[in-house]
Amino acid sequence: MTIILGISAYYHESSACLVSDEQGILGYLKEESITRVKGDNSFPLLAIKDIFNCSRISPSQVDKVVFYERPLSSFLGPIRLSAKYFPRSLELITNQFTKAFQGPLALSSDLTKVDACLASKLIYIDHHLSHLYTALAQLTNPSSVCGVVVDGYGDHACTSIYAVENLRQIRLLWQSKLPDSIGLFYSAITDYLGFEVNEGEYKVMGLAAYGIPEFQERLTKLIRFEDGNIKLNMEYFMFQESLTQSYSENVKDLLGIPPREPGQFLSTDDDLFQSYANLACSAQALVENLLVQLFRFARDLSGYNSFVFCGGVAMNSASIKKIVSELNPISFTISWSPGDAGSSIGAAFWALLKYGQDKLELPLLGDPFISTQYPIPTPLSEEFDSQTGLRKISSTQDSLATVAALIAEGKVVATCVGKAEIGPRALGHRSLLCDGSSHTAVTYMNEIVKGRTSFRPTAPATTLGKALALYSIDQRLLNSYRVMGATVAVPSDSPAYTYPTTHIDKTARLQIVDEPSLLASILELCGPDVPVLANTSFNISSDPTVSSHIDAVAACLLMGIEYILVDDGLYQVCQ
Amino acid sequence: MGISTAKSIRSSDLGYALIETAYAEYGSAIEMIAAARAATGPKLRSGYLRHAVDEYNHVKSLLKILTIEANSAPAKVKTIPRFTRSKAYIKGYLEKNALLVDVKSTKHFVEFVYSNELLAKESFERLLESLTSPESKQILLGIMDDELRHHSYAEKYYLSSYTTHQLRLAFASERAKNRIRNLIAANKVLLDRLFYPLSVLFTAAALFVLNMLPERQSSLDNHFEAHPTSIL
Repeated sequence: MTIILGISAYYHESSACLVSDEQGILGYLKEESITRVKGDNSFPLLAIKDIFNCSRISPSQVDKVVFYERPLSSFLGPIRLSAKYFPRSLELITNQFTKAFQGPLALSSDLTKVDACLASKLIYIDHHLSHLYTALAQLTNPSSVCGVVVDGYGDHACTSIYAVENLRQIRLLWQSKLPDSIGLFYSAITDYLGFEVNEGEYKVMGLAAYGIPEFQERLTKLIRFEDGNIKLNMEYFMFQESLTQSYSENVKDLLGIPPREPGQFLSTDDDLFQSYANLACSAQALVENLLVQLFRFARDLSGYNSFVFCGGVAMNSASIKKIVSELNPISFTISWSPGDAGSSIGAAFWALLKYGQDKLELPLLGDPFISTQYPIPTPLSEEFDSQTGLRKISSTQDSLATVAALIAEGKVVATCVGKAEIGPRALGHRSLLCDGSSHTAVTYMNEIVKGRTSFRPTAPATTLGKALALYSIDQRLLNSYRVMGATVAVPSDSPAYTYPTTHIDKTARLQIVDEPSLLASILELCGPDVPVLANTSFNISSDPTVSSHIDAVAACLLMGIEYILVDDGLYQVCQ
Repeated sequence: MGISTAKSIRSSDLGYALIETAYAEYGSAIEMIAAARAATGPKLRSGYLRHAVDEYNHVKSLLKILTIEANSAPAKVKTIPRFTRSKAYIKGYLEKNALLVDVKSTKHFVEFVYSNELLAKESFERLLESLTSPESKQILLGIMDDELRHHSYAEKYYLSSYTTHQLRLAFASERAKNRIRNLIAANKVLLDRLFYPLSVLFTAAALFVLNMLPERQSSLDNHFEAHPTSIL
C-alpha cells in the first residue's frame, strides 16, 4: 500500500489530506477546523496530527509528503513584482523578507514538528496542477478534458489552461503570470467595497444582484482580455507595493464614489448602498465576460469542449450559468473545493498516481463529505448535557421525523452529523436548516440567528425531482449543484419565484441533495409543505463552520439556536 | 482573560485599546474551546465550554463598546481598526500550532486561567476609567463580573487538587511575565525604528541576489512528469 500526505499551507486556509492507493481518502482536515480561526493559514500541524491519530496511521508509514506548490517560486513571484515598484514597495518587500521563514521556506522544519522522518519524503507539485487534480479526483473518467485554473496567485501563475489527455498525460497550454490576475482584480474591488480580501468576495457576489452594471465600462480600464492575454493596468492597483491596500487612489477618480469604510456593517438603508451594489454588479459582470472569453480561448487552444474549472475564482457560482450558456460545453465540472484548502487533496492524488500501484479506484472523491470526524465526545454524556443545558428529545431512530416536524413548524435546526463537507459550502452535515419557502423562518435564520446582512442570499436545498419542477436546471451542471457550485434561474411561473431562498435577481444558489442522504430524508419527511430547505453554514459569524460537537454546542449557545441534530439524536438547547 | 490586556489599556487611543482587548478575549475563547474539546470529565468540559461562550460574548460586547464610544467620544477614539480574527496570531494572543491546553499540563493550565482572569479584571478597571458612556461602562462591568467568576471557578477547581501556596506563586509568576511582555511591547516601536535601516539594507542586498536567480521556465510536454523535488 502506498500512503501519501498532501499539504496546503501558508497563504489561505491550510489543510492536510492523507490518501492511500488501496483505501482512497484516509483523512482530511483544515487547520481552521481545529484552531477555530477562520482562514487559518498556519502550517497544518494540528490537522496532520489529528488525521494520523484518527486514521491510526503513523508518520513512518507515509511514503511521500507532497506540498501543493513550489516554495521558492511562490516566495520569489511577489517579490520580483514588488521589486519593479521599488522604493515605493520597500515596506512590503521588507515585510516579505522578514516573514520569509514563517512561510513555505520553513516547510521542512515545520514537518519535523510532526515527525523527523517526514522532511526527507518531501516533494512538490505546481500550484495550479494541485488545483486541477483536486477537480479531476471527482471524475470517474478524467480524460479528454480542458482544465481551467483561475485564482489570485499561486506559485508563479494566476491563470492556467491545461489539456488533460488522461490522468498521467497533461499538457500546459497557456498561463497568465503575476500581476495579470482576474482573482486579484476581484479582490481589489472587494477591498474597495470595504470587505476583507480573501474572505468578502462572496459578499460582493451577493451584493451584485442589487445593482446595475453602471461602472462596467469604466472598470475595463483596470482589466482586459486582449490578444490571448489578461492584462491588469497597474495604475489602478496597489497590492504590488502596499501591505494594506489593493487599489490605488486612481480608482476613486475613475469611479467617483469613495471606498467604503472597512469592516462596517453594510445595510440596504445606507446612503451609498445602491452605488456600492452597482460597483459590485459591474465587477461581477466584467468578470463573467472575462471568464467567457477565457473559456472560449481555452476551447480553441485545447480542442476540447468539456471543462473542469478550479482555483479560487471557481467559487464565483454566479458566473457559471453564463459561461455554460455561452459555450454550450459537453460537460462542465466545478471543483468541490476549488480554493487552496482543497489543493492538499489534488497534490496527494497526483503523488499517488506517480508513486502508487495501479490499484486506485476512481473517482477518488466520491462525495464531498470526507473530513476526518472527531471521535469525542460522541455521544454527549448525560452529565455534560445537564451542566450545559442540553436535553435529548429524540434518539437516532426517530430524530429525523422530529426534525422534519420542527422545520415544518417554522423552527431552525442545526446539524453536526457525520463527516464534514470539504468545500466552502455547508451541504447538510454542518448546516442550519429551516423551511426554505417560509419568509418568516428564513429571515429569522438569516438575520437574527446568523446576523447576516439582508442582501446576502440563503441557499435552497431540494431533491432532483423537485428541483426540476421549480428551477431552470442545466443537466451539465448536476454535479456542481450537489455542492452549490452554480446558480440557477428561477422561472417567473415557478412557485419558487417568491421563495425567500430566491435572490433579488431571481436566481438561487441551489443544492440538489444526494439520494439517499440526510437532507433527502428530512425533505421526504417534511412532505409537500416544505418543498425546499433553506441551508446555510453552521458557524458563528466570521468563524469557521463548526467541526466537532463541542464547537456545535458552543455555537448553539452563542447564536440562540434551540435544536441541534448530532450523531446520536436530536437535542434541545436551553439557553 | 487576556494575556496582554494591560498593554492596550495604556494606549492613548481608546479605539486601539478596545480592539486589542477584543483580540485578547478572542484568543481566550479559542483556548477555552480547545480546552473543552480536550477535557476528559463532563463537568470540566462543560465549564470550559461555558467559559468559551462568555469570552466570545465579551468580544462582541467590546466591539459594541467601541461603536458606542466612537459616537459618544470621537476625540478619544482616533481609529476604528477592523477586527480580523487571524490577527490574534500576529498580535501574540494566540500561538500558531500550539493551543495552550496541548502544551500545558492541567495544573499549569488552571493556574494560567486563574491568574489571567484576575489580571484581566484588573486591567478592565483601568479601561473602565477611560469610558465615557454609561451604557458602555455597564457592559464592561458585566464583563468584569464574568472574569471574576471565571477566576473563582478556576480557584475552586485548583484548590480541590493542589495547594494555595502554589497558586499564589503561579499568580506572581504570571504577573511578572505580563509585565515583561508589556515592557517588550512598549519598546517594540523603538526597537523597530532602530533596526529599520538594517532591514532596509538587508532587503536591498537580498533583492540584488534574488534578481540574479533565473525565472522559472517550463518546456515540458507532459506536466504530470514535472520535477518533484524542484522548489523553483
